[in-house]
Amino acid sequence: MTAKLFSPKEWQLTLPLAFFLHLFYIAPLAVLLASSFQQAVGVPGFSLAQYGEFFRDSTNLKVLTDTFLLGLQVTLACLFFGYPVAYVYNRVTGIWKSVMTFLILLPLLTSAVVRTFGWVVILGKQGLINSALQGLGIIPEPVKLLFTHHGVTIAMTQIQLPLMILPIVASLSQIDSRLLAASASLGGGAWRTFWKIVFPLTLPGIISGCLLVFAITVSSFVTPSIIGGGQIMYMPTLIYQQGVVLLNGPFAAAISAILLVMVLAVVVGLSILGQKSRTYIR
Amino acid sequence: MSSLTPSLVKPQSDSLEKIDRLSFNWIMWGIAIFSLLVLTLPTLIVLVASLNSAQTLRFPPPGLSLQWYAALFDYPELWTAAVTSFQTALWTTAICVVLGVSASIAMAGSRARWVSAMDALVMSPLALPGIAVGLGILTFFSMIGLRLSIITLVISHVVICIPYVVRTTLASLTQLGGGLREASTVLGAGPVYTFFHVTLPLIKQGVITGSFMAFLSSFDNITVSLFLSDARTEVLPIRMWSMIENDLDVRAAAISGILILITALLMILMERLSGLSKFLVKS
Amino acid sequence: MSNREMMRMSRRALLGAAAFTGAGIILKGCANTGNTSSSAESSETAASPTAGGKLIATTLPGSWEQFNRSIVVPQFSSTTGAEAALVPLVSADQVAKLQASPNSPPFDVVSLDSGVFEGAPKEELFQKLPVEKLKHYSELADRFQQPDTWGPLIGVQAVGIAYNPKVVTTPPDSWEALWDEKYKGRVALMSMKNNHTIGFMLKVAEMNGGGVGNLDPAFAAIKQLSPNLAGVVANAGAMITLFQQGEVDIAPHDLNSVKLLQSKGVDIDWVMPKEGGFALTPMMSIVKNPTASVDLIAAYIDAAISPEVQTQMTETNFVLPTNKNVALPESVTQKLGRNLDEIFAKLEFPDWATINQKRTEWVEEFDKTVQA
Repeated sequence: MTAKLFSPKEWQLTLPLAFFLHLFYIAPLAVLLASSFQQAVGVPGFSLAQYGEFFRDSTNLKVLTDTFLLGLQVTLACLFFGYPVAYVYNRVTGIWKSVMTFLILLPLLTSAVVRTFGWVVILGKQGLINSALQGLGIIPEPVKLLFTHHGVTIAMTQIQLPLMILPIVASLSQIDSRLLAASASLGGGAWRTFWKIVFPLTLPGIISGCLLVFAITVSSFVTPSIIGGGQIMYMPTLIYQQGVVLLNGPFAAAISAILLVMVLAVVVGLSILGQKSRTYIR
Repeated sequence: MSSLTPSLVKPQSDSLEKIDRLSFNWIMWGIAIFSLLVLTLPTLIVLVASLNSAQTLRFPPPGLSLQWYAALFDYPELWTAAVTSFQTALWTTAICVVLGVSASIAMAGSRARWVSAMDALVMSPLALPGIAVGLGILTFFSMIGLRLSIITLVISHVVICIPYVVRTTLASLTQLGGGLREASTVLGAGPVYTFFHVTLPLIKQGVITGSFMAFLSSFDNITVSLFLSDARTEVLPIRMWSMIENDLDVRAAAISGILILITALLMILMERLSGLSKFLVKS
Repeated sequence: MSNREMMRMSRRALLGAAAFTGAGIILKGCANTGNTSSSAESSETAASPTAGGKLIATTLPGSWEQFNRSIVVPQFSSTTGAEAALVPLVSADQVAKLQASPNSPPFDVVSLDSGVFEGAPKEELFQKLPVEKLKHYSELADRFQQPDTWGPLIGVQAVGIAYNPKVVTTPPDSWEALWDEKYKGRVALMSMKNNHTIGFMLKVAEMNGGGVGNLDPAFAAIKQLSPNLAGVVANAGAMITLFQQGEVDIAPHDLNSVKLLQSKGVDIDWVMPKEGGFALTPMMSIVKNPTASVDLIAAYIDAAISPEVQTQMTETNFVLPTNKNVALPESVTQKLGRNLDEIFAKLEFPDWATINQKRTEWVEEFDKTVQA
């Protein structure tokens, strides 16, 4: 009885959050985005001039595709490098588990400000990667990593890795170990068990991780602007430049809107996939 | 199921099985160890650099010294900022958990279209650069005549941290399915009892993970805080940014060292008390 | 099914809208009480400006913050008995923050680069300086005293060439040195959003037959620079990390930053090129609708231009004084010239009013030119 009384109205539990976000996020966002329809700074009225200007310029389009590409590459790299960590984490026990927890959380404990110093040390021409590769005789001359797209991809992957690992760990820990035992006893090999059972069962965690990593990567400002410098631009750098440095609020708002639409398209896509994965699990 | 057939072909499959198992383990462990190295490297560099005997942050350091850790004690602004940051992160996390977990329960319990819409709404603060969120919220607060304080700071942090809690909790709930809760209610337990005694223990991992992320991203946020904090609510990351901006102050790295040390101590303590790993992952 | 959902959705929307308005009103109520208390506070301070009170000032981050915290604020406190809290922000962020909340500005007085200040909507965000309230205003050198002033220039930073003396053994004598083949991959520039680079581009344009009206020669020269360019860095902080780690050897930079690093043991030195350097001038201005009283803010600005503070600024920070009663220490005269007239003759003061009209165009052109 109680279930009948409660369940149909369960959606009401979203109300506090929905209310909070409407008040403190949607309303400010509406104020922000409204200015993107101005013809120019301070000119009232409705116009798509800002959007037209963005898409007319090939430099801006390159920034948009570079940003999307960065998000995609970092997300895939995080999944590739992060999944095994989560998997191993669920295998180890005792003190090793604590040690791994600590190592996974480590990047989150170092301030972004100081961490970028670490990246200059690693990626620079006199840096660790170049010294190591030159020492091993793999490359004759130092490769340029700092101030390149690859450098940004490497740094962002490292920074976002915990955000991919943690949701997958949560997901893996919920898998019924009897399922795996059953698969093994039925002669399902390690790879087969992984791809047919473990991986699909952890899809909710994977999707969560991918969503977080993608969204945060394409909206990051500090790391891409310091590691990438002024020679490669991403959407957040462009927004800062137009909105804060050049005081062109409407154009910055339009760029924000375009970035938002791009990410939301990915979010909705993955979210639908997530709901499908739920069907699979049941 | 075709997976049944290999077990019938015994002699060959033994070695095949071995290769299968070994290759799987080698690759998984190999990538995992490499990733862990990559995860730690930048932090290690910062830690080593924080033990600098020189006047500026440099790597490799010309000599080792704890002087910059000692120098931290003589910097009152830093401690005020650290306290503000900690309070903000704590409040932010608490609010995020209450709002986020209840919303996730509703979202996981429904297959309606609005779930995708709500999902997109919750995620969208992450999709905007902090500058845009910060400026937008500041403009809005100014329009309704709200002055900057720790409240405005916490509100803005909740907006950008809520996605972490909802994402991870939702993932846990999704995996859980509705079966157990239904069983509980069928057995006559009320929804509140079911939540605290059945659902919450099962999704604990997801909630804790999300809270961790929310806490740490609030604690480390620069771009939103830049616009939503004022002189009374200066936060640690902004203090550190100003320290490193013109003169590579080694103390900025020493702060990271302290934070890492505190976390390590806390974890050891928790391990002693209850076994953090058991706490984090119920196996 | 979909019909019912629609119903639900619209009901939700309605509910949300109602709740939204409600909360808005409540918040407004809270905010108003907040405002009244703060205005009461400010009227209190206005009544007795010399007996306590508090103001919030911005500061440029890093060494400027250290200077303001350890020299300007104590001087201000000892003369007024009031407190001052500092908010470190780069110039552009200060303006952005003010522009986002003009009615309740988060600070009372700004300290920012005059190039950025000139580009901001001054009339909306700032108020003119009540010159008569400043004891030391008349001590400013004539060129820094303007009748319609928005605020005094606090100091003059000289920008020239920073280099690593371990690698660049003979000090470069010209801006042209940056294009020298031997510095392949060793040159750094800040991005064009920094006024350092705007000034540099202006200088390069002038050397190649252009000027503030025509920057094309500078863009052409930057294209030529690309083999030497190790990177275009986001800001001054990133620049000094590169110097410190031996990633670059030569770059345009200001004397005060270089001297600070040098004093901390970094291999870096500074020269004024023969074509002359240029000046960056931080200034202070009072915001519109400040919380603290204008008297108190004027006292803060007065402290910053007082001879005591300006002497410290020149001696320890290598920023040239705007107060004419300050004698130049030998360390400065050695590096720059015998007296201020001689030094200022070598430093170009960029025409920010003209530059700001073209800033957007230039920044976009620069980004296109250096794109990897």
